[in-house]
Amino acid sequence: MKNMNRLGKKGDISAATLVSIILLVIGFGIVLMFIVRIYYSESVDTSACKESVTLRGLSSAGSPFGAAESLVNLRCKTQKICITSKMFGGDCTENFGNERVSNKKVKTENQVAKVIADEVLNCWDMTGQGRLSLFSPGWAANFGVTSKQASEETTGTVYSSCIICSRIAFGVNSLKSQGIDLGKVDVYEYMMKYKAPGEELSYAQLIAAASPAGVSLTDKDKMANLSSKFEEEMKRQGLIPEEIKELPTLKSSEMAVVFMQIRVPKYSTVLLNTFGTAMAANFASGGLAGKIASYTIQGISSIPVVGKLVVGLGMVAVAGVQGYNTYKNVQTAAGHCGDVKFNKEESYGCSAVRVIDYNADNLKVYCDTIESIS
Amino acid sequence: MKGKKGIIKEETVKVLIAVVAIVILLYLAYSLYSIVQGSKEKEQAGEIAKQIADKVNNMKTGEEIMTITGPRNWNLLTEGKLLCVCKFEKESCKADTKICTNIRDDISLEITGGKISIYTKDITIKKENEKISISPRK
Repeated sequence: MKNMNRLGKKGDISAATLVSIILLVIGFGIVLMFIVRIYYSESVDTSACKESVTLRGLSSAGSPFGAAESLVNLRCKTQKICITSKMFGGDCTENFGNERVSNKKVKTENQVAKVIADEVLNCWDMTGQGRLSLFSPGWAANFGVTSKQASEETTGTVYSSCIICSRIAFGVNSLKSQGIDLGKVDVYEYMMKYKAPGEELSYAQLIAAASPAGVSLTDKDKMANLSSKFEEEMKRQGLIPEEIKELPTLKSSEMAVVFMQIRVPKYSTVLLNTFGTAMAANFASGGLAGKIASYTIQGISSIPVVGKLVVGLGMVAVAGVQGYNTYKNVQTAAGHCGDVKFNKEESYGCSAVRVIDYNADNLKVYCDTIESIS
Repeated sequence: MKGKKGIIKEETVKVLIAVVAIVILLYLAYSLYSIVQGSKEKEQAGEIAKQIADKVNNMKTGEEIMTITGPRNWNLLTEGKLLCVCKFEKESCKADTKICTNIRDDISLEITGGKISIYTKDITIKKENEKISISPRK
């Protein structure tokens, strides 16, 4: 009997220890995996970026002053994409030298459009779909905005910040020999017409559905309403293909897919940007829920390849005239967001994915600071 | 009843596990701290230095335009056969921020004006014979 008790007692201790060890190992495993994905692995650049974006978004959500986000570094490395028709290797060494390049083989104009559309969607998804507040004035100050400039924030200056998700270059010669006419590539049409990979919705619908307005994928009425508004706005802005008379020319051999975010430094916008639901908007802005998630596609005449249209694909994360916005802040924000919102109301921030010619002049139009690693 | 040896053995295992757990936790805490506090600017600037050096080392005769998107207040400069980036404060380089990359021995590199800001800019890299000059794009 004594022996049995002793055995039983021994067994109990071992089981408890074993459970503790297993829990510890699992816990460490999870944390370690998280760190490895964020910090070390080059093969998962996109995941690392997405996770660091989430981490920063959560930090800002947890901080009543919006300052914590400036402490979390984003691990976003600009992807280099070479669109080519060459069977082996790429032909974008002029653009990327010996850097790690992802070569995308294409045979048709549609496939070129798909590569660009995928990059736009990836960028939007990777950067939190406009739901997260990633860049605070505190962050801007940390990233080299001078103290003089920073002090101007208190009097109204705001900064737009960017992540260059990818640079896309073209192996022009190989594409030409394949019979691909870059002038015929229409990314806008592709995004409206074709389903996103693994989804039942088109690229454009998918982005609209994931908008901070909280339009559910299953909410057909809201989706339809959003789509018709979207069409109307396109017509109003003269962005439908029939109305475009002059086709832009290819101005450079490289384009960039850029995520841009700007917001005025008001704490309430952290809440709005973070939760971004109609309910949050009602709570914070006194019933302007209908205005928080305008969605549009914009045309930029200097965009190469896309031919006729578009390609700043954007979404206004937050828009609306608010009593607490200072005039100057609103003006600055509106200057950056004006082309990605429906109406002419003043806006105090937006998130947008744009496709632009890759050069300093273009980048400076939208980005005061760039946080991605080139 | 357990013997003294048995108790000591059991406690030793527990202490060992605790020590290992603490070490791992410290490592993880340090890693997280590095993620949060690591110098992002330095990484961005270093990557730009690497890319320019790569271009310079492999360039053929002629002229190329390169777009760089570095942080503010960082400059590109040369030091002998090194191409460096450095954060400037009051017009002088903060030594602990300097990052340098080698350039080929047979190349003579010159930066117009001695230094160029790497904050969102197009630069012109021009090669004649084995002489390369870097200047802001006009």
